[in-house]
Amino acid sequence: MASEKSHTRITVQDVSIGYTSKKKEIIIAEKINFSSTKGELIALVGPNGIGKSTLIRTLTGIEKPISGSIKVSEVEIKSLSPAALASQISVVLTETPASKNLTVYELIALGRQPYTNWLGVLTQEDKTAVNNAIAITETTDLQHKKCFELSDGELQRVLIARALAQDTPIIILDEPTSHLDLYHRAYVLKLLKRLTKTEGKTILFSTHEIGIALTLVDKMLVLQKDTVSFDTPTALAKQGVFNTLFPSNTIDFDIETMQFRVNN
Amino acid sequence: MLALLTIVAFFINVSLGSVYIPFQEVASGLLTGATEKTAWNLILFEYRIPKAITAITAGGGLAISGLLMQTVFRNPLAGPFVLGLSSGASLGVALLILGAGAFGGIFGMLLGNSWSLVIAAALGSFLVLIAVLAMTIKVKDTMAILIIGLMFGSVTAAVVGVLSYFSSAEQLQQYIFWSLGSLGNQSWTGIFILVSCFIAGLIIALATSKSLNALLLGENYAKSMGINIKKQTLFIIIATSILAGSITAFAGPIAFVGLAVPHLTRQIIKSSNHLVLIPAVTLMGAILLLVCDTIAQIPFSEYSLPINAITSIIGAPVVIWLLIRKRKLLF
Repeated sequence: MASEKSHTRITVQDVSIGYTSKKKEIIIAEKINFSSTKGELIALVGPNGIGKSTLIRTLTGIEKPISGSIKVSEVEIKSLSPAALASQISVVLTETPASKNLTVYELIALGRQPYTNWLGVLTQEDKTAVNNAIAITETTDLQHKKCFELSDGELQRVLIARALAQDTPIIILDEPTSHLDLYHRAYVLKLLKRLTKTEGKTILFSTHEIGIALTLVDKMLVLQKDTVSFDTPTALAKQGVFNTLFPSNTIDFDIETMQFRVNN
Repeated sequence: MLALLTIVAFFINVSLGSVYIPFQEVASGLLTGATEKTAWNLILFEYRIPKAITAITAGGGLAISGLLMQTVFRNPLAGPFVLGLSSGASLGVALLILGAGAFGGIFGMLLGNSWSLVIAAALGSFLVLIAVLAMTIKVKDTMAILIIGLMFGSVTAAVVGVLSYFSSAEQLQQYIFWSLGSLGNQSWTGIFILVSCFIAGLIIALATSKSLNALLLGENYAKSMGINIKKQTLFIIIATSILAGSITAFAGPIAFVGLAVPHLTRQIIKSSNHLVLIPAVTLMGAILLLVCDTIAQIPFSEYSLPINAITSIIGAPVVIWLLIRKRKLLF
């Protein structure tokens, strides 16, 4: 699809994020600019408390930006109805499902909600999409288990499958690798990478796993106290962005090996 | 299968009572509308059948409202009784019955009209539910919400206490009988009101089942799937208040049905889809309350116990048993 290729999937211009408390606006981060096209894997990194989660909540429409414009497939998200937005962006949040009694299949099938009728009945097409999502995320063996029987790693895969079943061009994940062991962290990130390549998804995820992210992602959005940078990992490394990410008396960045080192 | 059980429970419930009526006669009475003796006819159609219908709607309705609240509050311990909904309804009724003494005038004129009782109770539970929900926005902790519900209960009790101090013995007696809970003594008009409220509540509940399913993942996920949370929550609250309010108005506060039935149903039905769960809890609730009522009459004796006592005696151990067996209530 030539026309789709030239279009940007998500465009963020001059966005400030934060929250209003007692009629006072508290800005957490400002001047956020980036855009992304089909099939890109983007990592959102930055120290704790810099506003990664708030940015994710803003991008997914859960919260409103203080200022600036966020466009999905060239349409301002403010002007999209919740249902229309739900067919553009799907999310994987840090919160675990409220009900642990759901079976894996039921949970994944909930991703079809934007497409089902008012009673939420699954059509054959919905079932195909759900089974497809299950196959891609290798959760076939889990589908009849209940959520409380899953390990953290399995649950994360199931939540990703749900987002896939929602069949949106964009998937946004908030710290998909937290609580996971090294193998599962790598597994989840490789799965995301695969989804961008084989399914053409545009995926943005926040993470503290900068090490693995550096080797896998196409672009990185780095939130720092005063600056926001967006580029490929190598370009960011050359600009010296990673050197200022953490206090240098504790952590150094080595541009030769593209790795962070703890100073002793 | 649950539907069949309901019919059986209905039949048994109608057959048993202080006066012995042979099974064949009950069956012919139900099918053709006539029995051998006019006295039996009277007992069946003016007493037992209305009572059984009340039991079905009350049990089913309370169970639905319990299910809806457990999902909306994402809390397995939620229920119309626990969250103070029944207290709110009681407050509405107390204001209506006892307030007639304290304030006189307009209140007195409204008395005796069963619609006004329903409206007062539904409004009472609606207000409590709105208040509790408003607080849950501030307080995310589920324990705190339950405590808030309990506090509403005590406030209601206190207001009722103050009101009863000012009202006449007759009004007080009327209120106390109401608060003990009773399925019997319903007129066919009353039944008509109750059943219409029940059907309205059931339809709204079924219509929100898609949003309820989305809410199982949590509010933010539901939002991300295109659910208009505010609007849907309002509908769910309206359904719950209509159900809990109208039932409380007619049958008095009935404990534990709303809390225990959804959990019992989840033991049998292996689905979290509300489109399946809502009809299932309705039938389960109906069966449970029919059984409770049958026990309350103490078959073949002249005594009958308040229904609220029976549901508590059965309900409380059930909840405890579920907690011990699973160590954690899931919803």
